[in-house]
Amino acid sequence: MPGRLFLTKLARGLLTVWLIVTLTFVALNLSGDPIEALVGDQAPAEVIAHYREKFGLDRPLWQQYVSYVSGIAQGDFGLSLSDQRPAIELIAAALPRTLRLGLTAFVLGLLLGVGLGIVAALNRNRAIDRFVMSFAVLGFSLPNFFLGILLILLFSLHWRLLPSSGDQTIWHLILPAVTLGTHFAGTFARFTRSAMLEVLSKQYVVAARAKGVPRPRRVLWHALPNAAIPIITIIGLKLGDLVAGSIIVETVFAVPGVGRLLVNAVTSRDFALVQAILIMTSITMVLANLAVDAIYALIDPRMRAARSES
Amino acid sequence: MTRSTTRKAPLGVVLGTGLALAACSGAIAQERPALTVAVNELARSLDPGEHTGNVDIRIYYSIFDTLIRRDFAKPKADGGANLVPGLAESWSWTTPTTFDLKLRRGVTCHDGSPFDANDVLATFSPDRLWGPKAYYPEGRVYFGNFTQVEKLDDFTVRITVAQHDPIIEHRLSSYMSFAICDEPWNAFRKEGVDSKVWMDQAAKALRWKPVGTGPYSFVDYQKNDKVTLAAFDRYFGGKPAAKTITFRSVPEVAARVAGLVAGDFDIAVELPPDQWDGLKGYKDVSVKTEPLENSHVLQFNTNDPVLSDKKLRHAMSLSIDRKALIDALWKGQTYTPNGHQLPSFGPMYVKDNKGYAYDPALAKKLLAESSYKGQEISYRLIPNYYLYNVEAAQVIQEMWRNVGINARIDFVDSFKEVRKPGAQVFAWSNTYRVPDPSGAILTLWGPDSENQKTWKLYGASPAFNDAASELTAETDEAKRRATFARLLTAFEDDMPMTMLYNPVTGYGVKKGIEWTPYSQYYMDFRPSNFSLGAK
Repeated sequence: MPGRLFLTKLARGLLTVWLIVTLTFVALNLSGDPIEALVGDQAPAEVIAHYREKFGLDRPLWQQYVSYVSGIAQGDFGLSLSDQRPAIELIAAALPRTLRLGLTAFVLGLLLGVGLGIVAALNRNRAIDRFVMSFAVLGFSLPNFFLGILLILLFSLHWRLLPSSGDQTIWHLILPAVTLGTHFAGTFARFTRSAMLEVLSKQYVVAARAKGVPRPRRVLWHALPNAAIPIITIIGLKLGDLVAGSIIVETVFAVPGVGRLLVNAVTSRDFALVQAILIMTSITMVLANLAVDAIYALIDPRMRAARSES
Repeated sequence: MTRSTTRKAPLGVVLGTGLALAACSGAIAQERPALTVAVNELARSLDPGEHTGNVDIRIYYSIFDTLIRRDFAKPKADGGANLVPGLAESWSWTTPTTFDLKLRRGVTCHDGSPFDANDVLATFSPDRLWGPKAYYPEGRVYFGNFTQVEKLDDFTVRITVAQHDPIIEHRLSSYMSFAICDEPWNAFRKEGVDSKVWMDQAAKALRWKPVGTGPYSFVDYQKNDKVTLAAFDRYFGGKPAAKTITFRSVPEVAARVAGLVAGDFDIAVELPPDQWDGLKGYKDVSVKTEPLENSHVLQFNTNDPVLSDKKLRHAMSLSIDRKALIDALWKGQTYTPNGHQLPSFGPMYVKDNKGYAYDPALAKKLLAESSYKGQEISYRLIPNYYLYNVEAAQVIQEMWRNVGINARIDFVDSFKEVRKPGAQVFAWSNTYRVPDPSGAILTLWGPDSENQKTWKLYGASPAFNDAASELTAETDEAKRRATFARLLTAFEDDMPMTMLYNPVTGYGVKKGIEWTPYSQYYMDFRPSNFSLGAK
């Protein structure tokens, strides 16, 4: 990607992050008083006033906003209201667990989804295609909280084969990774199938077949790389979605990752923590989009040419 | 329950070392099992001054002790709260305003230092709990009457109060009265530095490194994951039964239940009534339920133009079938208190007080006599803030409709929104923080309460406010009880709220664990309330 184009995209990304910071700040402040969540429903006004002053929430909103944004510019995301520790420290502690779960599920979904998508495309309109697509639709549309609880009921409660919560061992990873991975697999399978079908009908694939190129080579060497653009697009989008996607799964399976941290922070209106997680998530999204753009240019010479012409 | 296992060894080796190992007390500790408790949410901090929420107290109750302890497991014959020695062995009023406590000897703090009067002074210092600028402002709610706390000798402490307080023993056994150990706290004290500044540093440092005298000491905290405590074998109440207790955060009810059944957890908390029957089907799990010392109430804004008519408020109260609510929502496992009181009030409990009746015929009659003309009444609530508050609201709405009262349920997201102008009826809860009117009705509804002074939602009658002032000043037990009876009558006549029921908390417990839940959220793992038998 040419430097100027990269800088333009970077500037857009920064603008996106700033918009998210501002919108999050406004939305959270409109949603209610964090001190109430901290002190309960029967706290005297004196106690509420004490905590409002302690956390600087008695200042005008614009002052809070200015000090918050200037803090972020210096890498200070503020203190967690409920925990009194730097928000960034709490995220750093939870992130490895989210990445472990998210990446395991992602790789599982990628292998399963792309594989099944190719199989479905090669067997278009046959029973196997319908079966794979049924699985894909189910995996994509089944809510994570439902699938998660279903797996807990079957594998933990009924058969007592796998632990239902936590992330202490590799065994604890299986159910949440399958839950999240099924969702990824469903998405990837659908996109891979449609992208492959389009490419398989192209003349160069027909020509390869006429030349007697073996089917595996035709599929993996001639068709798949040309079907990669839409697949990479959706992979990029889903990669940026790792943290957001883990929110439900981490809550259901009690995995102490960033998703759970966000749910708890929202429940307790822990402003600094919610803002820090949302900023981190938005940065992940922006970076994933930038990475996808860069990969487009690497794998598709036509795009390089088109961009340099433009 | 994960018991430590021993490897198989040759018989000679076992015989040769067995006696020596058996003599070692450490071996006994090794054999104790580890306990895992699945909780809906971990404590916000383990600083007993900072938070007194249910998620907090259930954990730090094992770390800290109070000077006087309420024995929840063995209430008095009349149902009154039973106070027993805690860190203090004995106590008495030496004058009407001086209260002396003799401290227990031989108590050790988790940091190894001996517990004595200095720890009491650190806990009950004016800068920390009860002075005009106390670091923990909630302390003033309990101890605002204190004027001095002094050390008479290493094991005798004198508390001086502005006005004789007939329930000081209850205050010293309740929230905010957990004793901290002075050395780690006072290590932050600096001469010439404002107490709020150094106490802020101390609180920050110790909120996840608490030092108390309780049966378990703090080991580890992982946010959203777990809090681990270890047996403190020098505990004055005997050796704790578990080697460690891990409170694991499991927010989903289904996951807590599944983990309990699968053996991942030994106790699961906050199991709602819809889970009880299912769990009873498992032979190795028992369900324990306990009504809490907290009441779900419906508050009426007596200053609202429509609800200012007392007959309407009485009609609304009389048309609520509380037994139907309790049977439907709580499986019949709780009750409606007969007035703003509990049997644990002991000598203050007005047993023959009628409380809040169900009489739809009388409700219709009062409604006909009232100024109510069928206006839509707003019933505000924060959805799911209290368990089953939405379901209860929908049922009550129908009960009111049956007598001719037209209510609209309005969902809001905070108590600020609940109480903003236009408030008419809303769901609230009242906790009995001390088993006495001064720890409940006077705090929440009395002349100095937020309800009367700040929010202006309760325009109390002179009968109520006069009785409240008399009760606050009175120290004679019989006269206090008579005044309280009058106060209850006036309160029920004013009808600024109606009682629904006390919620129930449910615990799933693995077989072999002898443990009794309390009517407050404290989880007591002291040897007197917790032991481990055969699975």
